[in-house]
Amino acid sequence: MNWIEDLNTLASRRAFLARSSTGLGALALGSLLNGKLGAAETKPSAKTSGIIKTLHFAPKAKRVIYLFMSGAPSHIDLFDPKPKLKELTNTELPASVRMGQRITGMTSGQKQLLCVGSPFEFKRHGKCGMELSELLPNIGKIADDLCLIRSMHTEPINHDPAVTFFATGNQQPGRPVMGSWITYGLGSENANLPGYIVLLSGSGGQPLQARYWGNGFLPGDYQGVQFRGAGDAVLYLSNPKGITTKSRLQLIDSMQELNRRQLGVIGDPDIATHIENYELAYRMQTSVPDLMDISKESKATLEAYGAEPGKASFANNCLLARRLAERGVRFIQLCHRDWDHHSDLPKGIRTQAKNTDQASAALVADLKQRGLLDDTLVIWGGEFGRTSYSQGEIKKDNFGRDHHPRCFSIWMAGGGIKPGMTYGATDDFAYNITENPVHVHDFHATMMHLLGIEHTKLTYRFEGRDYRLTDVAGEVVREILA
Amino acid sequence: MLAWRNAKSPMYRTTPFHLVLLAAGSLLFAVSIRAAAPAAPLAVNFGRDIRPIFSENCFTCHGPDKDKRKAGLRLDMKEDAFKKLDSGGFAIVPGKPDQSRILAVITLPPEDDDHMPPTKTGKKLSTAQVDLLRRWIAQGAKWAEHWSYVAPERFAVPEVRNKKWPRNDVDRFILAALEQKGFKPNAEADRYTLIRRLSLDLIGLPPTVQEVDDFIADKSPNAYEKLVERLLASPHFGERLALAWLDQARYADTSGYHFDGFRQMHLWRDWVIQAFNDNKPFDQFTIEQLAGDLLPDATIEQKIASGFHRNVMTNDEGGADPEEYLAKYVVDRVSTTAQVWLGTTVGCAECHDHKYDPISTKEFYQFYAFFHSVPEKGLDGTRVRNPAPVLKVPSPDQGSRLIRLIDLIPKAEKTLADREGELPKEQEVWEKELQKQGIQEPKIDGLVKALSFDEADSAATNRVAGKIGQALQLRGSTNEFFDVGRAVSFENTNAFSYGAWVKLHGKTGAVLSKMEEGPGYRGFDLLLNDAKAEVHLVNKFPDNAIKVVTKDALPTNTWLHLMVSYDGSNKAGGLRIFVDGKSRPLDTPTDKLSASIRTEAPLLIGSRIKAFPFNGLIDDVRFYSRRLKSEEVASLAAHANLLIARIAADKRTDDQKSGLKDYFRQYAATNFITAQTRLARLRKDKDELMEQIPDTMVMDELEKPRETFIFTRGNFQSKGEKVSAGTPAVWPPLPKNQPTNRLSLARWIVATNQPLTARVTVNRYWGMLFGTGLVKTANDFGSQGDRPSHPELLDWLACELMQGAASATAEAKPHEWDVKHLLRLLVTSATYRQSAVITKEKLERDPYNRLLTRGPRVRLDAEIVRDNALAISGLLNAKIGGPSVKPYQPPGIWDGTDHKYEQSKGADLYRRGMYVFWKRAAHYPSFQTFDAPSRETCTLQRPRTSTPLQSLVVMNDPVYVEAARAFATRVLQQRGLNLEEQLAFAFRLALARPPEKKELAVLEKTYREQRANFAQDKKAAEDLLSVGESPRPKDIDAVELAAMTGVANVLLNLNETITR
Repeated sequence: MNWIEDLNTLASRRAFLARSSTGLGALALGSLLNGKLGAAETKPSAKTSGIIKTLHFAPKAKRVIYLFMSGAPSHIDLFDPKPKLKELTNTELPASVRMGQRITGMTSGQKQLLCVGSPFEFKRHGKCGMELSELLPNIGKIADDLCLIRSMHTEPINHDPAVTFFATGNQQPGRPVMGSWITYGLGSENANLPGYIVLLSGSGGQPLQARYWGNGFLPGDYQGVQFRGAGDAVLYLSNPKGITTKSRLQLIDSMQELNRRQLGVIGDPDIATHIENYELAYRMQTSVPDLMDISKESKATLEAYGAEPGKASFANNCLLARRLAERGVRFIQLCHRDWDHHSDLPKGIRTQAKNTDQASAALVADLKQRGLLDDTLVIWGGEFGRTSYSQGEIKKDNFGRDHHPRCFSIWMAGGGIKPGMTYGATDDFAYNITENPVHVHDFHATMMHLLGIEHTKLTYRFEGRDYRLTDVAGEVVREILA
Repeated sequence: MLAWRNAKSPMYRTTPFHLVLLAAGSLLFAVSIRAAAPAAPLAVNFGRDIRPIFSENCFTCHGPDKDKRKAGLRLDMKEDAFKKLDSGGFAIVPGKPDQSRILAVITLPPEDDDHMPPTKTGKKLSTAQVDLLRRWIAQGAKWAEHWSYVAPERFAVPEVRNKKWPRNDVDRFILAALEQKGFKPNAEADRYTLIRRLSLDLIGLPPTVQEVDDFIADKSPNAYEKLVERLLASPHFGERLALAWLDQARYADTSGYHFDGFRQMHLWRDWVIQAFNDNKPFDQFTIEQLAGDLLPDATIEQKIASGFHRNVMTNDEGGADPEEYLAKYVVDRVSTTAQVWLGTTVGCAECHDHKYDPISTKEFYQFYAFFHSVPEKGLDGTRVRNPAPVLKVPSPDQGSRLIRLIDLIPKAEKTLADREGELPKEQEVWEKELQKQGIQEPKIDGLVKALSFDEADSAATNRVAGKIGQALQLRGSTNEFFDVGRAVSFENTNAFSYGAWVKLHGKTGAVLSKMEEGPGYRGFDLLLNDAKAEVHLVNKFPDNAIKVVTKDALPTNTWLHLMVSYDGSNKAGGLRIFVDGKSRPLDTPTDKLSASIRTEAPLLIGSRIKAFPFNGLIDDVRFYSRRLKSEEVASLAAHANLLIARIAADKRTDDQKSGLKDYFRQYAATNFITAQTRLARLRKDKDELMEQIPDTMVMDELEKPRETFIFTRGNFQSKGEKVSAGTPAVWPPLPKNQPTNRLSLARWIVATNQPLTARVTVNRYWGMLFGTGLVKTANDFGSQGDRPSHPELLDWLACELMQGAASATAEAKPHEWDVKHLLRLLVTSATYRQSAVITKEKLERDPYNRLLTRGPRVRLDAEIVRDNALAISGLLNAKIGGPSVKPYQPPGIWDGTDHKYEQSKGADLYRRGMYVFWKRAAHYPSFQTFDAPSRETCTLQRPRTSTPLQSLVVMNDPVYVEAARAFATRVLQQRGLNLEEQLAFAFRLALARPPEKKELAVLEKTYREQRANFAQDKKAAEDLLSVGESPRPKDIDAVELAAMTGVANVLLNLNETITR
C-alpha cells in the first residue's frame, strides 16, 4: 500500500491536514484506511468496525435513538386507555386482578387500593387509529409512524434496579448497557465522534446514575460519553484559556514528534495508539462544537422542536440527537427526568408531557423528512408502568400512582419497526397483560435483531461466563417487524 | 477499526493500520503480524488439553448443574465421568476409543440428533480437538483434578542453559520457558528506566531528580537492591498497595444504590495503608478484614479492619423491600470474598448450580450464611451518614475531651436540678419585687391595630379567659368568627407585621384573614393547616402570590405566640413566621408576588371568608405597620406572660400560672438560667465533639443469627431448603472443633491446605508489576479461566508466599505470608529488570508479553497518572490518610444525582488520587476516563484503554494545566540555567532520563513557538497562567512562564510520561 499517496489524497481533502507529512497529517491516515472519513463520508455497509465483523442479518436499523423517560411515565394516562377503570374510580382493586402480587413499601401499608381512572381523554389518531391521551397531541400526529407496545413487562419494582434492568438486562449493577453492547458489537460509523453518546435533561425526580450509560465489564471505550448542554460539550474539550488553536496544533505536533521518536526506540504499538488518540482528540475539538451549535438550524426546525439555542432542554437534546444520527453516531441516549408521579400525578404528568411531546414528535418527523428514519430506530419509554390504584387519597384533580412492573407501554419508530401498529393489550385495569407480553429481554432481542444482530451471538466472556444483553432469555417479537 | 478501541485488544494489533503507523514512526518492521501456531503436543495432558474442551463444550449439560444434566453424564468429576450412562454404555472407556460413547457422538454427522455438542448450541469441536480426545482415551484417559483445586507444590527450579542471566529462581522459571521457545531475554534496562519503573510500581510516584542522580552515582554492586529497600520502606508503599486493594474491596464514599448517600470509611482505608506499610502478614491481613470483630479481645484496629465487607453498596430507596436488599448485600459479600481470595466466581450459583465449577446452589447459600447475621438493615435508613453497625474512633485528644465532658455533664445536671428546686421560693421574692417596681410595656412602634378581647372588643361573642385577660373562643364552625370590618390595609410593597396568641384545639383554621374569596384570593392571612402555620400574600393565587409554610407542625392545645413579619420585598425570603418569639424554618411552595395585595375584604378573626373556620382560642391580635425585628417579636412573646403578674395571684387560671412561671424561668431566674446555659453548652460541646469524631462501619454479629434459606432461582421471596453455614465440598473442609462462623471461614481461607488463596494473591501482585497475571483471568481460576502461562512458577511463588523463602538465611528470614518479600523477589528479578524494547520477532511471537520476553511497559493507573503530574509539578500534597477530598471538577458532573459538589480548597486540591471523593453514581471524571472503576462491585482487574478522551484530559483538565504551570515555574526557578539546561531539567523531571539531542531540539522549538505566540498576545499568557487556584510567583515574566507552561504541557502529555 502506498501510504504516502493516500496521505496526499487525504491531505487535499482536509484543510488542517495540509501540514507537513510529519505533522498531524500522517496520523489521520489510520482513519482513512479504516474507512472512517467523518460525517460526509459515512456509507452503509453490512461490515462493521465492531466485534461482529459481518452482521448476522441484513440490518434494518443502523443506529438507535433511545429517549429514556426516567421515573416511569404512567401508561394509564398516556398510552393505554381504560374507560372501565374510570367507572371504577374509588372502588377497591379486585383481588382477582391483583392476585396477591408484590407491591412496593409505599402503598403496601395502605388500607385500601382504590382504583383511579385517568382524568385525561383519549382519542384515535392517524389512519391506524392509535388511541393516545390528550396529553400527547404531537405524538398523536405521528401515530402512523409509531409502533406502540402496550404489553411491556419487567421484573424489578423499584427505580434503581428497574432502570438498571432495562439498560443492562440485569438488576444488579455491573453489566454493560444496551448502548455499550451495540457499540461493542457494531463499532462506530464516525471516527470523529464516540459511538455512544448520552444527553441529559430535566431536574427533580429520580436521580440518574452514571451506570445507566456505563460499560460494565466491557472496556471503557464503550461507555456512553456524556455530551453536555452547558460548558464543554465533551469534558475537557476546550483548550485552556490562552491556548489558541495555533498553539494547540504546535503543542500536539511537538508531542507527536517526541512520541514517534519513542515509538521508534521502544516499538510498543500502544505508543501508536496514543499518537492516533491525540489526532482524534484534536478532530473532536474542531468538530464537536460545530455539531453542538444548533443556532444554525432553520427557524422552522427550531420551532418544530421547540428548541432554543443556548438553553439545556429535552427539545434541544432531541434536535442534537438528530444531528448526531446524521453523523452516524451508533447509539444516542437521552435521559429525561421527573416522571415519578407518586402524588399530584395529573399536574406532574401534564408538565412532563408538555416538556417532551412536541420534541419527541418533531424528532421522528424530522428524521423521516431527511430520510433518516428508515435506518434509525427511535425508542421512547420508562423503566416500568404505574398502578391503576391511587397512592394516597383520591382528591379532585389530585391522586398518585405507585410503581407497576407488570405492564407498561413504550413506543418505537423507524429502523424496520412496523409503523402504525399497536401491539399487546392489558386488562380493564391496565394491571395484567392479556395479550402478547413483551419482556425487557424480548425488547432487547428485537432491537438487536433490527440492527442485524442475533442477540444470542453477541457475547462477552467475563469471569468465566459468556454474558449477553439478553442474559439467558429473549425472543425477537416478529409481529412488530416491518 | 473503531476509533475507541482498547489498545490491548487483540484485533488492534493485527490491523494494517498500525503497521503503517509503525512505518510512519520510522520503525523498520512493517510486516504482517500473526499469532504463533502452537506446536502439536506429544502426550495429551488432561488439564491442559482435555478439560478446557469439556468445559467450553460439554459442561452446560454434563457439568456441575444437576438440573440441567443430560444422559446421566457428568464430565467435571472423575468418578462421574467414568460411570455407566443412563443408556447403559460408558462415555469414556480408558484405552478404548472405539468403545467410548463420547467419541461416537462427537463424530456423528451434524444432522444426526445424537450429534454432540448439539448443533443448536452453536458449539462445534474441531478435528484437532476430536483427535485430542481420541488420543487421550487411547493413552489411557488419565484424569487430573482441575489444577487450581490441588494444593500448590514447590516445584524444583528448572535448569537453564544461560547461567549468567538469572538473578533469582523466578528468572530460572521464566528463562527455561524462553529457552524452550527459542527466545533470548532483553538486556537489563538502563538505570533511568529502572528507578522510574520501580518508583512508580512500588510507591506510585516518580523519582525526584536527586534520587535519580543518587542512583546513577551509586556504583556499589547492590545499588539496585538498596533502592528496592528504600522504596519498600517508604510510607507511600502502603498507599500504592492499598490503591489496588480499594478496587477489590469496592471502597467508595457513597452508598451506591439510588440516592447514593454519603458515607465515610477513611479509617478503614487508613488501616489498609498502615497494614501494608507494617507488612502485616497476608493471612493476618485477611483474617482481620473478614472477621476482625470476632477475634478474641478484638482491638479497635481489628474492628476497623472488619469494615472490608461493609463497603458493599447499600440502599435507601423509598418503597424498596428491605429483605431484598439485605440479600443483595450478603450476595455481594459472598461474591467478593470468593473473587478476591479464591479467584472464583460463585455468583451463578445464586440462582442455579454453577455451570462450570463444582459449586451448587446449596453450597452458595451455605457460604451466604456466614455473612447473613450482620445487624444491619436492608434499607440503610440514612442518606447522610454511616448506617449501623458503626464504631466511633476518637483521636487521643478527642478522647480526653470526651472523657472530661462525660464527667462534667452529670454534675451540671445535678446543679440544674438543685437550682430548679429553689425556683418557687425565688419566684415569690421576684414577684414581690416586681409588684413594687411595676410592669412596663415593651416599647415597640408602629402598632396600627390591636384586639385584646378584654373590654374594647366586647362585641365579640364567646369570650373566655385568655392568654391575658379574655380571649375569643371559636369552635370550628363556618358561621362563627369575629368580623372586624374595614381595618388595616397593607400593600405588597409595605413592610408590616401581624400575629396573635392562639391555642389550637383542632389542626386547621385561619387565625386571621383579610382576603377575598376564590378564585383570586387577593389579600393576606395567617392560618394553621394540619398544625403547620401558613401565610399567603396574594394578588391572584397561585400565579401572583407568596405562600410559605412552617416546615414543622406546631403543638396544639397550648398557647402559642404567632407573629408574621414581611419586608415589602415581594419575595418569600422577606417573610418570616415566628412561633413563641423564634423564627421557624419555612417551605416556599409559591414565590411569585409582584402586584398589589390590597383588598376591601373585611378583616376576619378566626376564619377566611367561608373557609378555614378556627377551633380554639385567639387573643391579643396585633398589626404593625413595619417589619418587627426578631428581638422585638421575642420580647412581645415574652411580655404577655409577664403581664399575668398584674392579675391577682388567686384569680389566675392554670394557664396563666404556668405562663408566669415560664416567664420567670426564662427571663428572671438568674441562677437557674446560668445553670441551664452551662448544661446546654456542655451538651452541645459533647454533641459537636461526637459529630467530629469519625466513625467507620464495622462488622458485627446478631445475637440470634438470621436463618438462611436457599432462594429458589435467586428469588428472595421464594424460600427453599433451610441451610447452615459451610464451605463448598470441592475445597478442603473447615477446621473441626471451631465454631462455624466468619472467623473460622477467614482462617480457612488462609489455611495452608487452601489451594487458591496464595496462588490468587501471588498472581495479583504479578499482574500489578508485569501488567498481566501469570493467570490472565485474575478473577477466574475455575475451569473457564485461563491456564497459567507458567504453572510451576505460580505454584512456586504461592509456596514462597505461604511458607517464607526457600532460600531464607538466618539473618533475613522472611515470615510466612510476607508480601514485601514476594514483591522484593519479583522486582529484583532479571525478568523485571529487562528493557521494554520490543523487537519485530517478539511482537509477532509474544504479542502480549505473556512469556516475559521483555520488561513490562504499562500505562499508569488513573490515580497515578494524576499523582505523577502533580509530583512532577511540585504541587503534590503527600499527606497520607484522612477523609476524602474534592478537587476541581467541571460543573454539572453531579447534576443527575441531586448532590451538590462542594470543592475542597488549598492543599486538599493536590492530595493523591486515592483520596479523591469516590462517588459511585457520578465518578470523578478523569478517573473514569482512565478506566478507574466506579467501585459498585469488586474489581480485580482494571481494563487499560487508550482513548482520545484521555488525551483531552491531560491536555485540558485544569488539574493538568495548573500542574503544567507549576512545573514550568519550578523549571524557571532553577538558578543559573540557560534555556537548554532548563529544558533538559524539565525533561528529567518528567521522565527521569536526560533528553536526546533531537528531543531537546523539539522542546526548544516548542518553547520558541509558544514564546512568539504569547509575546504577541500577552493577555493569552495571563489567561493561561490564571488556571488553577495555586498562586503563581509574580517575579517571573508572564510570556516566559506561559511559553514554558506550553513545554510542560507537551511533556505531561507524552506516552512515556503516563507509562512506566
